[in-house]
Amino acid sequence: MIPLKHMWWAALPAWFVALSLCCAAGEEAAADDPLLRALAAELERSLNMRLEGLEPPYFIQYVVDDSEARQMSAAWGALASSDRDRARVLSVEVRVGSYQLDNTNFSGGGGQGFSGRARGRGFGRMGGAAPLPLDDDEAAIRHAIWLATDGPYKRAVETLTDKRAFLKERESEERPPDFAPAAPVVQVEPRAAFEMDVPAWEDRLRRLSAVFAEFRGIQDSSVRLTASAGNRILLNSEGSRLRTGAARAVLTITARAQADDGERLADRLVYVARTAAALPDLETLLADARGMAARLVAQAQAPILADYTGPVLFDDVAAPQLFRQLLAAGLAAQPDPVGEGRRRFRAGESLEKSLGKRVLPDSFRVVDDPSQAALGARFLAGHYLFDEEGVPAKRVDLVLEGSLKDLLASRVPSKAKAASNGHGRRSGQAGIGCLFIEAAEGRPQEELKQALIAAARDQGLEFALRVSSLGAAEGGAAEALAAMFGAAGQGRRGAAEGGAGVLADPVRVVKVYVEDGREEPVRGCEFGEVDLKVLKDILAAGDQPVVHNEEGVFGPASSVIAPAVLLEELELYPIEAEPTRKPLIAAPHARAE
Amino acid sequence: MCRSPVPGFPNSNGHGRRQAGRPVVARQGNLLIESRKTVPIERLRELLVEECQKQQKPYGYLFEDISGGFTMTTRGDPQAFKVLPIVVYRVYADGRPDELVRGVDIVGTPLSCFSKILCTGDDPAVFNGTCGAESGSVPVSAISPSILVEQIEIEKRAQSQERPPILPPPVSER
Repeated sequence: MIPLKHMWWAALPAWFVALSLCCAAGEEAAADDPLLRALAAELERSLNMRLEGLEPPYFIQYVVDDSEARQMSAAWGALASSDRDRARVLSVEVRVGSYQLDNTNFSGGGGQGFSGRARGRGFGRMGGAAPLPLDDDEAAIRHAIWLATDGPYKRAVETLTDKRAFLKERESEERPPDFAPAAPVVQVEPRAAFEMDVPAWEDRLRRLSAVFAEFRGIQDSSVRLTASAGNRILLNSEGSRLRTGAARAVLTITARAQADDGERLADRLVYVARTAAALPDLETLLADARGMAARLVAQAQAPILADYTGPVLFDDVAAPQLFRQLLAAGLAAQPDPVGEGRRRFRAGESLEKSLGKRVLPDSFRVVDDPSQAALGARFLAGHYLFDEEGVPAKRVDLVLEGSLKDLLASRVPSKAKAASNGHGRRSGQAGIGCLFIEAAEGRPQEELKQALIAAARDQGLEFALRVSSLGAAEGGAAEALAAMFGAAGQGRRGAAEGGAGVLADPVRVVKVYVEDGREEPVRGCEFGEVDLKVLKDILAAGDQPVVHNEEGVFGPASSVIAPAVLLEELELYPIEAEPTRKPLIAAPHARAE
Repeated sequence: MCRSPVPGFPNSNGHGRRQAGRPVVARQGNLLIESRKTVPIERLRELLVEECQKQQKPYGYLFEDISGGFTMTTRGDPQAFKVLPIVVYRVYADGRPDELVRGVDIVGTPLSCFSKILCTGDDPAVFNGTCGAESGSVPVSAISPSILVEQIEIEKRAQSQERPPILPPPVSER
């Protein structure tokens, strides 16, 4: 008990020192903010919370996402929805025990049946979430925080007791600590507010959604805009106190078509910007939407690709999508929880064992740098200054000269990483922010195409493949879900998200003929098993970085920036599905007058 | 009845109801309960005490408010109902003052329960609520006077083992 208390008292002065030294202005702002005052008061009170005979918390963290959002959608020229959403959500993290051993990283003991008690307690289940009052009413906010903290503490002491018993019954293997200390940070920015010209955007969405009526081959379509702005407040018992503003706008234009044999095709354009005002102008959007519609109609009439084994050029957004799906997840250090319910990581989910080994050609360098807010004119959605655990973002050199040198880490230690490097993204999980894949000796697009043709010729092929976009991926989680369960997916492996060993289906894919370089669209194909190893055999890379932003609701936003790459050999197969027939009656916009 | 006939009831009587997006089934609208055996409400209470004395019970129960209830309508389940009372008093046969109690639910089967109604009060009250069933949640009303039931079954409500919050509420600090 004594060391625990000591640790807490040691943490308290750090708070006050940090406050008084580096943020006098911030402190003034904080004094004006009833929400911050309420959180600070309840945090201090809650550290004294204890059940008889059990320890008080050694760490408490409150995060409040205080945001206003507007979501609207339109189809066929008419507004379909326009909703305002105002939310103030408190996430509570309560840790009991010590940094070395606490209630987290435990996936349940045995002997409690196949479900029930053991299941709810896994790692990541260390707290709870609750809505807070929207009014700046300090007393009302404190009341909600009080109730939201009590339950997580009770669960924490129960879980820690279970975990200690579990560990006593087992051979103790060498385990990293459960939580890494982090230096307190204090930064209180002015409160950000939501601003948007709602009627103007409703009108733009109507006009954008109307363009699809010009294309008889488009079966369904939608235009969706989600814009939000707000503040993230983080306070913890180590003395961190943050209030940072955030704003985001995501415009998604989706079109669907169906081939005569019933195969469903979908494509989407996604624009991510800080605010709706920073999105491209209407003329640009209209032209892009028409371009996509025309491409999709042509794709629906294209022949189905037969089995293919040979070189594939990933260009445009397919290049960063490829790296996101094959490489990004593995770059995160993976804590290994104890308990009966722990799971083994699949190959590609963690590259810990590849540290020091070659994962890409010598000419490649991979860096994650969340401090970058833009690449030229392109917004980087993965930009942040403090991660979800309040740790300042750090640049991490992950791959140098093709070899894996480092991993991304959160405050949950793993065998490979003892401390956070500012990449704690979601409930203690490490993840990418802005992942830059850079290749020395990048070549212009035309040279890449020639290299693709040369590779196909060497293998005695009549044509090679060029893939310019993969399924799902870019955009919000709603899109990813729609793709997972919707038209594009329909129960096949890999169709939607990709993941370890599986690449999402190609959406825009063309044959490039060896004899004259002409291109023909194809459809209806999926990748065979794809291993991370294919990246070692990249034959050539482009000289233009392409940004792929992903705005997750399940996970925080991230960006992957990569040049086009030419892979030596991949396998593609025709999709074996039993598609439903096209609608019996032609769409209203496609009927002859 | 809705427009799906059942034997003996070939036509709808305008009770096909549903929540948006759900298929229609026959549902309650305004359910009126009327009785020919009515006494003033004060007398109804006296009758409760008399019934207790007659049955040699120390007390009876007075249910003033309920939060809701449910009944089972699927074929495999027993035809039983449960009502979740909020405000319940013990009314003593020996004239002691009423005692507020908690933690009881009313259970039973509808036919045997309703056949034991002795009489009703003269105080029709309106219950407005939302009723959930196969066709979703629909707003419904039930209008009924107080009723005196000769015999009813109650059971202990499931109780949480959870302790009250450890810290006092923040307002108590002031």
